[in-house]
Amino acid sequence: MADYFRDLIAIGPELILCGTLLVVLLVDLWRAGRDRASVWWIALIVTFVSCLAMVQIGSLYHQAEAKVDGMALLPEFLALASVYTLVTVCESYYRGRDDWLLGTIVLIGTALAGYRLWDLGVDVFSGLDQETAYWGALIEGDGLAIFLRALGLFTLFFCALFAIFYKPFLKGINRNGVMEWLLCLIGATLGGMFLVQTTNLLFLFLALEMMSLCSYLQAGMLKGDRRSAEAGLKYVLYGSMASAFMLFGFSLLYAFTGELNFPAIREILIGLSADGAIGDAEGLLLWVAILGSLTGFAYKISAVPFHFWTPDVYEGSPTPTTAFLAAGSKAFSFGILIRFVVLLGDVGYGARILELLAWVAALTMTYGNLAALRQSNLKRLFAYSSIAHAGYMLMGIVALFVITKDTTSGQLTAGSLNVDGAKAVLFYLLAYAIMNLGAFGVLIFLANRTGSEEIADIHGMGWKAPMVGGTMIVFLLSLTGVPPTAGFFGKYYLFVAAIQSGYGWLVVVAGLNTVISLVYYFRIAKALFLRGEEEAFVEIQGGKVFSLALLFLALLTIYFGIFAGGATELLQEVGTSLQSR
Amino acid sequence: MNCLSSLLSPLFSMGPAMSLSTDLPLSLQEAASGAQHVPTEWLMILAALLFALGTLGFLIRRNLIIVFMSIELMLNATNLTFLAAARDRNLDPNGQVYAIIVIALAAVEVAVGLALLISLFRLKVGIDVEDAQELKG
Amino acid sequence: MLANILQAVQGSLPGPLSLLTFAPLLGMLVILFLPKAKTEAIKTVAACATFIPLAISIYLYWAYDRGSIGMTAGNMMWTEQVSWIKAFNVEYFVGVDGLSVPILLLSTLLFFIAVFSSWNINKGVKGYFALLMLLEVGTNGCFVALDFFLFYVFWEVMLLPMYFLIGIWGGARREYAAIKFFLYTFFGGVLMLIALVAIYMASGSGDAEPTFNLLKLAEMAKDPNSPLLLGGLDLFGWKFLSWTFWFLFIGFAVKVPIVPLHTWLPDAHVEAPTPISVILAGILLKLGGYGMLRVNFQLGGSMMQEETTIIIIGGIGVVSILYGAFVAMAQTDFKKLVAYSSVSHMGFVLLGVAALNKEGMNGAAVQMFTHGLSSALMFLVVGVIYDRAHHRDMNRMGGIGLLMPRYTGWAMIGVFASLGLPGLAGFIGEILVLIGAFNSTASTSMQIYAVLAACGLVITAGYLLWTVQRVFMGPVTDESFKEFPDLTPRETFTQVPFAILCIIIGVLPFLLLNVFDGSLAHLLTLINPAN
Repeated sequence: MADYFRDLIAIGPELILCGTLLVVLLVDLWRAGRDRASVWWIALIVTFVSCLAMVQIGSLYHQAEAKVDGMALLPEFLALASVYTLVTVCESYYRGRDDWLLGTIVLIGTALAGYRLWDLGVDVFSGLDQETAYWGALIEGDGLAIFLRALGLFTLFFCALFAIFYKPFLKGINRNGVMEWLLCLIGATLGGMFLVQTTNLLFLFLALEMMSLCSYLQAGMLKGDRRSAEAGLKYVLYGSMASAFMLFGFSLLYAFTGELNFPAIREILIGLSADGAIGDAEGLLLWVAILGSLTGFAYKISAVPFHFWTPDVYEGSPTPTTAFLAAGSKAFSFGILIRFVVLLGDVGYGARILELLAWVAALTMTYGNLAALRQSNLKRLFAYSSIAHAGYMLMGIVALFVITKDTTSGQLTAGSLNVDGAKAVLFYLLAYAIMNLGAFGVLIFLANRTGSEEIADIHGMGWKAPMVGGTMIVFLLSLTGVPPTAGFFGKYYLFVAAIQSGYGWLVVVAGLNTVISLVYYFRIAKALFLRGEEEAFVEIQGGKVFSLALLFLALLTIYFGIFAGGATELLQEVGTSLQSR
Repeated sequence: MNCLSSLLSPLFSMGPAMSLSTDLPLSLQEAASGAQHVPTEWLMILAALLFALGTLGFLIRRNLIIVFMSIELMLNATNLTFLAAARDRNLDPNGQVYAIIVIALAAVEVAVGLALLISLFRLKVGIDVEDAQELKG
Repeated sequence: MLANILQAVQGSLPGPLSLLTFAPLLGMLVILFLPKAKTEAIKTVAACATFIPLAISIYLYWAYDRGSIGMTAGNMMWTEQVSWIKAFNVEYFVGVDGLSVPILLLSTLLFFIAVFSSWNINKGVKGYFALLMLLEVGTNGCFVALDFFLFYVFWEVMLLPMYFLIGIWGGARREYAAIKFFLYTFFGGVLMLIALVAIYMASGSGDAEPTFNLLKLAEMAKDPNSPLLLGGLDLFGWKFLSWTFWFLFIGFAVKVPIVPLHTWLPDAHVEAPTPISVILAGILLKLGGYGMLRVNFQLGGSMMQEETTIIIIGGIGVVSILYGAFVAMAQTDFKKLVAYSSVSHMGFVLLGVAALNKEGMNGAAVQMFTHGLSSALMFLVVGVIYDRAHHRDMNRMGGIGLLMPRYTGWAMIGVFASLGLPGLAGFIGEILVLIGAFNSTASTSMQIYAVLAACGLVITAGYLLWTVQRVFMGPVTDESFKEFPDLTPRETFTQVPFAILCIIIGVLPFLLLNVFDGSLAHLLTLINPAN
């Protein structure tokens, strides 16, 4: 098998998404010029067939290798995806709407990509495919990448599903809004999926920019809505600044080592510190370089002090975008952050950076929770809550290394790698994606009916739509971290990792923050159920499918809150693969 | 200036690929060594100053067009660092390619930014940063 | 052949403790699938789902081997042990000993009665009973769990149903009371979680596998060289052993509740609907005491040997007794009075434990049980009068004794049991605690505490008798009271079991003591090997 073919297979899921993107474009063009329908039909079929062929060839390739039945990656995923697609198609067809087609194509494409990813994942997690570097070591298809790509596809699927039902997309303010939005969504996911695979500074920058640019556009997609335009503009402004800082850090790293690949950079830096060649001046420069690089990631995960864009962008953007930013964009950025810290955390001045990060984590969660207390807009509240959660997750990043302080010289040194930190962050990301998608789904569901995203306007909605209200309670519990939900296990794993690395004080801060977060999360529960009476509810068309999707997410939240063992064992393998660096 | 260059000198006094290739023509060797040209430290200091200038511009100026220009300045400062470092490392293609890609992406970023600016402007909002104040709290 | 089949069937059935814990969960699922309008069916399902655990716990009480010492592996009865999360050695490990069996009986009985006491709820019936079932899963689970992690999960499961039960079906200030309850208990829960994680990590130092198994942890804590005593993570320069002990203590003390952390209790009790107040006072407060005995004092045995700890815990107990009694005396709201009397009574539990001897321990356990009976009865009594008068202001009551004689009869048993009249349940626990405190060698301050607690008893008698005078005696102040019917059969049915149990325990205390005794004696050796 030729090498280039192997490289193509490795990014099969992404290729399928690219194909999907093209299909959406084609269909849209076809709708624009129906008189030449036949041409477009042919193009459409050809694209689909090639997509399928791609999938088929991928399977053949894998059959040719000795195929071992190993750990399956989210086996339920495919079945449910197809069921949901089917249901969505039927529902939308029944309603005779126009935009269902595009959404459905995205859902199918996502499912196909998921299928390819599953094949890849089986190989990686069963230990069959030991060599995971592709494209001349530009990308790394290891367990971490597979896990986060799967998470990205999951997010993409549900964001696309929510978009189908999102009212402002339907009102006809801009006829093609959904199409453009979907393209940006896929683009952003693609960027993110590459981002978590890369081990190269150049490729990292490209992938991050792809994700960012598409996210900027998504945020400003609601034409004629001043808040959306403002959100997009603020996002692009601050985002560009953050990527400039990141680039400056990269350029210094490059100037320092002359390399762009993480492993090579790491080797050179280790060699230099072994030679004692890193003195004070060099150390300071390295410190600036790493700090600059981290700025870009800190911006994406909205860590204090790079959080200021979050509330505005979350509030102004269309809600499906907000869901993507919270669940997808954040997961991808944490993925690359893990890679970055694992490789550079224990060389040079890494220990000092990690200690700084511990303070950033404490500040981020405290600030996010305190600011969320006084919000009246639900999306804004969730924006601050997402800042707080970034703080919790940073705790896992900090816990990646055990820091020891030399009592005489006061010198900090980063000790051995504690992969439990990475495992905890990854599990938290999974839990966070599920519960946050669910929560934003409920917001869309409610806003479709009340036309508002203020807490005051959802009073008593829980009585009107008990099932959706009930799922929201599950998501809120999970966000607070009450068992038996996925969020609880996420928090538990983070606590374990942090205590392992000796950050008891950080755990106490996080624990107290959890108590604060209870206050504002349960303001929502109060609005839903404690106000208002039981009364008949006018069911809006399309509500059924939507509530089913939300119910599925709620059940998944509880599932991972009771049977967290399976995911934990999967992440164990991810951790092991990180250990080899 | 002396102090600054001593701070920056470690960047170029170490690293793996330091020895110059003798197969190159003399003019290229000269270019690569930078002997006849501006010292690399100076370039780095210039880049740092440009970057700081861009940051200040971003933080201080209120006109969105100027703000975008400041971002461009920051990105180009980065380019300068990359190119200087690449020249110092025997015209390493990695750094040069990086600079080219940054130029391209900077253009894209500004294009996206201006598109969003226009869509905001169309809604009868000015181009001053203070005008974008619908979202706060 | 048939025997084989029976055996196979038996093997696949869940054990009695799992059934006891999860029968209400099954009930909840059935209720969720019933249509909203079928309220009678929902109530029937709830009654059945709470009857199964009650029947099982009666069987457990009857079949419990009184000679068993419990508290250690092999001495727990009806254990079930299945691995739950392998990566963290979390197990589904349940079992009961002499400490949990009586309290389990109390818990299941209270829930069964609570269903009947809730029969006239008419707002959101489906949600109400579903949440009530979930609440029972949490409490029963806590009483049978022998794995710390499992215990914690059940502990937290209780919070949500309680929040909604108070918040939706409560009185005027229900929203405030509900979130206050949730916040306080969740705060305690978070501290417990942090201690739990730290203890788990510490138990795994060296070659030992880290574990959540409470029995193994208790064994470890006994060994003076174990990592639980020597190793572990210090927090802000605070020794591992000490901070984990106090974190756990606060976690449980919020539920008990002890005095500085008690302020959620009057609000929650007063605003909650009657059946929920009954459950709150009867079971949830016991969980605090039970958790201390089962988890806190076993894992921190060496902390209990320090005199400072005893002085603090005993002192908190005495302060709770006196403070609760004095504040209760100042109340005009009947329900608030009962709520503060709970604070006062639960102080005896802490004092008894601090005595660190057999009498004190037994007294604490019996006090938990009997307070569960008498406070439940008292809240039901308050509920009856509130249902009729729609207020609870004692200054506007009076002369009920003549108007509702049957009601007054049952109510008097509750009042006097609460007061600690010899021959009724409350007396046994309080007198044992006082004897224990007087005889205690744990600290010299214990004798002073005992004297103060005895003073507390006098104040308790004072406010309860005054209450009787204000509510049941004297002239009828409010004419509308004359219209009130006496107890309905349903109300009688809810009150009688508690009243009868109060008398039985008061007359035949050994029925309870011979179950508690063995396990508590063993617990004492775990805490204080010198004893």
